[in-house]
Amino acid sequence: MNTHSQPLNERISALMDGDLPAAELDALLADLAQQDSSANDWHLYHVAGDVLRSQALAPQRADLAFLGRLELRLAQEIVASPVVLQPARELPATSPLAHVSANGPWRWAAGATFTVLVGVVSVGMWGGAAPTSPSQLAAVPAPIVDTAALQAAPVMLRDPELDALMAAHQQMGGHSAWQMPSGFLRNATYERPAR
Amino acid sequence: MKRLRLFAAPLFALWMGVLSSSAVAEEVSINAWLMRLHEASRHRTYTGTFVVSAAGQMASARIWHVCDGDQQVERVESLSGTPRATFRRNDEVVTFFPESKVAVTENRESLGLFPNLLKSNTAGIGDHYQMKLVGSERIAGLDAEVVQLLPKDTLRYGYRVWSEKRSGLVVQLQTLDPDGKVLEQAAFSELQLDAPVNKAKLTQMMAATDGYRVERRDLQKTTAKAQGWDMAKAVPGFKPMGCYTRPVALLAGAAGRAEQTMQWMFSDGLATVSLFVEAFDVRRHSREGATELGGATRTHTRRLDAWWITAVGEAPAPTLALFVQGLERKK
Amino acid sequence: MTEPSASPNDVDLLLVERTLAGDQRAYGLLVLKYQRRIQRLVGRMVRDVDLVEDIAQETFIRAYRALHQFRGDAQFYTWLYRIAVNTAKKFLLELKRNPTMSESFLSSAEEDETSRPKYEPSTEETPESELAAKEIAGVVNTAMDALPEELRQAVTLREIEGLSYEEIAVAMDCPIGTVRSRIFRAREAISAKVKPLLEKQTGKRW
Repeated sequence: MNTHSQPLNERISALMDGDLPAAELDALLADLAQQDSSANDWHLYHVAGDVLRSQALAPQRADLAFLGRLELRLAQEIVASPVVLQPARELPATSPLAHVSANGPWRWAAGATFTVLVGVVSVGMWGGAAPTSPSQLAAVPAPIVDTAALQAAPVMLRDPELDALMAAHQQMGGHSAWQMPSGFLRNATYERPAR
Repeated sequence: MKRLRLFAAPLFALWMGVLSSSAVAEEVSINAWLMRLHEASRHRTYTGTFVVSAAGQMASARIWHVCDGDQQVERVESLSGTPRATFRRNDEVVTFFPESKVAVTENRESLGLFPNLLKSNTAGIGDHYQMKLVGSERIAGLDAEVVQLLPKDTLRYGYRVWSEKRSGLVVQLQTLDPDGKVLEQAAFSELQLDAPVNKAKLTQMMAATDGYRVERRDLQKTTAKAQGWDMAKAVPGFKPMGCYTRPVALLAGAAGRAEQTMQWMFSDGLATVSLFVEAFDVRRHSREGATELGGATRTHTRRLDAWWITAVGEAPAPTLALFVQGLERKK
Repeated sequence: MTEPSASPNDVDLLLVERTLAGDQRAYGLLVLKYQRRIQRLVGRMVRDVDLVEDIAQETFIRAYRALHQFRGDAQFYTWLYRIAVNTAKKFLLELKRNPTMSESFLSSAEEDETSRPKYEPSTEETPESELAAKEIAGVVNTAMDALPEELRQAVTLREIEGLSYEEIAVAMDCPIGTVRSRIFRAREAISAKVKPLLEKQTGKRW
């Protein structure tokens, strides 16, 4: 059944009940994740269903504020994970963090917060990793890798598809001067397990 | 470390001389210097503990390396993550996974390519990187020269390299983003040069696949042209280094998937980028664009008609974007 | 009608997969779907409303970290439920061990909010928020009562009885397309009434 002709929010409603053709899922999920209005419909319909089932499920506090608070913490998860040891402006356009919106209910971490956190994390991790001059380098003892900071870092989100390609890339990474020995070692140290 | 020999003293002196001379000689100096690092890594015998830290994650391994004339044998045992031991004899690589009792054998012919790249006149690493001696430091108890290789454009990352003074062996390597922040670091936390390593024993261990299921990961050598692809717009400095088809699933252990994937490799001498081309699959392929996987390695994905193209490499996001955009179907 | 369609569980799984692929907003959709159930669950174990919210937050953070372990063989909510119960137990244990812990934990959790607009402390919110919840429930019930019979029946069979579209079509003796459309119209009508109240809540919090 082709439901493309139906309004978006009707398709969201069908999606919730598992009545959407599999072929349409992806596009709709993408839409849900991108459009604030779609996400709001998703939220409202779920609230309606919850409240119909039990009055105790009525939101006592603002759901979106809960989500906003959670997102700030999630943003730190991302920051603390490897992903973003770089200035915010360099984030790829597809990054969820690029969806920063000042007013929308979907408050993904604001750029300013983000940048500050990046700073903190990188200092913590790399000690004297700032751009160096000879004298700076001489003054800094062996680069300090703050083990605590490294280990406290949470799990990174991974895509198995990309992992496979990355492993393939690293396996063949021998075209670089760094291959010997660091590159080979790096890859042997890093390589993902085969199961 | 009295066991250290003055292995490359003449070359070292030459190198220092070149370093302080004019920019005209720069390319020679970079190539000579890299060549020295390369030779050092091949011809030394050592054991050590190696730590790779890429923002937020850390992995370490123990290494035994022995060189005997032209033969090199190496054993790398992971100290973190899934237990595994990788053995290498020249280009032959076997990785043992004791938990799953799987041994994966590969032939990494690419390992031998590097010196050729340097020797060729067209290598031009000096066209894209500026080398600068920035000081000296002690790493893992050894005196090391610290050299920076900074990119001359924004298409690549910079590197900071700690090279053991007498042998030239790289004891620490950092990959730097354009702001000079460290994206990734690979370093020996402990290193014993000229340690007694028993080559016969390593070779024996490498062959001990009894009780293991041996998996071969065979690569088919091919050319991009034969596969119907061309780089319509070359990314400056990156040269094609080889093209293969391979079953990628074996690498990831992903179930039920063994389609052939084309892997076309490019390098500017220091950075490497792989371009993967697979058949587009709507169930698996949904996310186009850039991703960071942590550390210096990034990816960029794009759908092109019936194909799914992914660039993976140690290069800034825009560089990977150029790669996926530059690829063109010729058939 | 023989085309494969995804069950509601598949939708959760898809959202998990999308999150793992780097789309964080997909995780937000899961949070919007399950946060009320998790809060109610935790609310049965812990009385303090602020603590309930903290534990719920922690639950979703932990679930996020462990998301790659979610295999889709259990329902997402079942999986989340376990994480919530364990998180709440851990909190309660720590509170017991160290009575001052509660204060210090809460204050450290609040640090996250330094970059957000400030809002009034929540001490007096309890009765007010309960009122708000009651108000929402009242509005939903009123909206339900005002629905045409066939819409009310369709949405009841779906949301309260948990029937599938096919079963509802049989029960109501109408095509599946009609079921879909009735449920959708019912949801639209209800959410139109709820929306202003939620916006009011949001305004108060932010």
